[in-house]
Amino acid sequence: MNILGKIKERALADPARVAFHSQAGTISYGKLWDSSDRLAAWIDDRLGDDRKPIVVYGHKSPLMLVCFLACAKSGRTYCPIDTCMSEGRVISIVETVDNPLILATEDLEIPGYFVADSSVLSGAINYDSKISEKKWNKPEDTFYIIFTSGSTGAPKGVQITDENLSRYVDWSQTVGDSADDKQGSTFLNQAPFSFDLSVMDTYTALATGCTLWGVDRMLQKDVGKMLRFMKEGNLNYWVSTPSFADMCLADPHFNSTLLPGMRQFMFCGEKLTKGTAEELMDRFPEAKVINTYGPTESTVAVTSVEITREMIAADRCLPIGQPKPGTEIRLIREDGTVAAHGGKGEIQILGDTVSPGYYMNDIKTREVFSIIDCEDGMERAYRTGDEGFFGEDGMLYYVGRIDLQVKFHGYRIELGDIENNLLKIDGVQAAAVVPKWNEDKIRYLAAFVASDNSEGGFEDRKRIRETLKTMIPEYMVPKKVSFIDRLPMTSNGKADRKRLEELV
Amino acid sequence: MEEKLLDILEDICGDEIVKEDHDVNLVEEDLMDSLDYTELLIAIEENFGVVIAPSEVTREQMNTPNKIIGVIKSKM
Repeated sequence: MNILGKIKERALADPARVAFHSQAGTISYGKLWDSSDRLAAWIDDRLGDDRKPIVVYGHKSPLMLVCFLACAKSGRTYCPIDTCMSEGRVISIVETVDNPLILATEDLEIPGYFVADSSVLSGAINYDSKISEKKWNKPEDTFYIIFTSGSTGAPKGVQITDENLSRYVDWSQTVGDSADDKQGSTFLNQAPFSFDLSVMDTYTALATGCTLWGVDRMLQKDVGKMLRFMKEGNLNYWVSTPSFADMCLADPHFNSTLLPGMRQFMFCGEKLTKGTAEELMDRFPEAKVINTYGPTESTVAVTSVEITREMIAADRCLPIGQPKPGTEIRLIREDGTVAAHGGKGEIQILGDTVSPGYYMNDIKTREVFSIIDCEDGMERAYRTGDEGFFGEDGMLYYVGRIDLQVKFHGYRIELGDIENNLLKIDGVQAAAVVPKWNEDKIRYLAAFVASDNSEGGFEDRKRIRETLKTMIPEYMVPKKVSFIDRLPMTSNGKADRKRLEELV
Repeated sequence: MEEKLLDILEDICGDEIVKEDHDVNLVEEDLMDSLDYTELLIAIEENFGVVIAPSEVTREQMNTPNKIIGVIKSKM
């Protein structure tokens, strides 16, 4: 069954159940279903034959979900934009999709476009007709487009089809606890809707009849208040970046006394460190810690693994897991051949969750997407730019970004490799290594280290450098080591490398 | 001059200790290898017009911020 069908089933079975709650409001499954039926009819009447994607702008209002479902029910694609995006970026996306109608749950003004604001929307969700199911997105239709923050150049719109999302959700419902066990529970919704990580909680929860507990940006600024809000929701399933969990772990009250119902932590979007995993296991002895991996271009995640104490004790970083059914992982070496078992290579993802490509950008699409003839027929494939290898345990391990490889003094250096080793050093909670540039040449490497039991004085910096020397070749040891309280994060909760490069 | 030199040293050694402890042993503390040393001599020439040939002073005469400042002063 595809995604709208699954949500419909839950809405009919238990219309009174809360689908989404945040400081901005609450909506039940029944209301979500009815409002999106009506808004879809309103959109369809208004736009007629215009099938262009629709920008949905806002933050953590329950109306956001109504807008998403309404677009899909009217057979149109939605592009979620969070309020954290800069004005220039919002305009660039609006102009790229070029639909005269924009749905906005927060204030937005863009000359030349009709912005349906919350007062227009509150009328449209009570529109006097409902959409017909015949209008719904078909499996091959694009369900949403998420614009990636792309480190260089213009943002790329990743198109995810109804089929991609549905096959992803088939699997995500069963990650860790079974779909039946999850039914009726509460999921944390922390990531902005413009970040694909939010798809993991949003659609897994909606397809399973669960409540989404939305933590907005204001709450995230006050950890004490945020934790009380989480307690009120008695969360069962946690979805966030590891950095966000680290932020919560910085508060000693974040434990199973505060959240006794916690069953599962699911991470994606960033490397999960042993420190974070172990601390969560200690504080939440009853909860599973699950690591997943995947790019926006393959919906959300395509591998998963439940982290065990043995993995934490092992002398290597945590695995990112095994591929889900319907996904094949190949490791491509520099010469284009597939690496032998155990060999390193660029992670290529094949299967049913791989996007058809970037919106209106054939050149960028052809660079990384392809169609490969497999045993089971033609499969879409995406080259991630991530390097990985399969361990003898059958697990996939992440090495680092291929574009984080730098040439320094003639050596090819993997910055991720240095970071992994920094994390093995006692007391290091988070680490990032960036090059110090002198025009287009690297002068030296600089490491940023977050640690709560070091003052960061000369002896601490020296200890880091000297310990590293015993672990990696001397030419890889960063010349400069700086201690900081917390790594700066991007709006998506990943280490902000650009900002760090500016700090060097 | 001293302040400027300490900035240069911090940049070359990558650690602010050179500003906090002017007697820190740059060689023993592994803050300056031979590549860095060459870079330092070039920077001294560029910034202060003082030429120090590697052969005329030993590394030992140049192994702390204070000693380096002394050598430069003697040649200015």
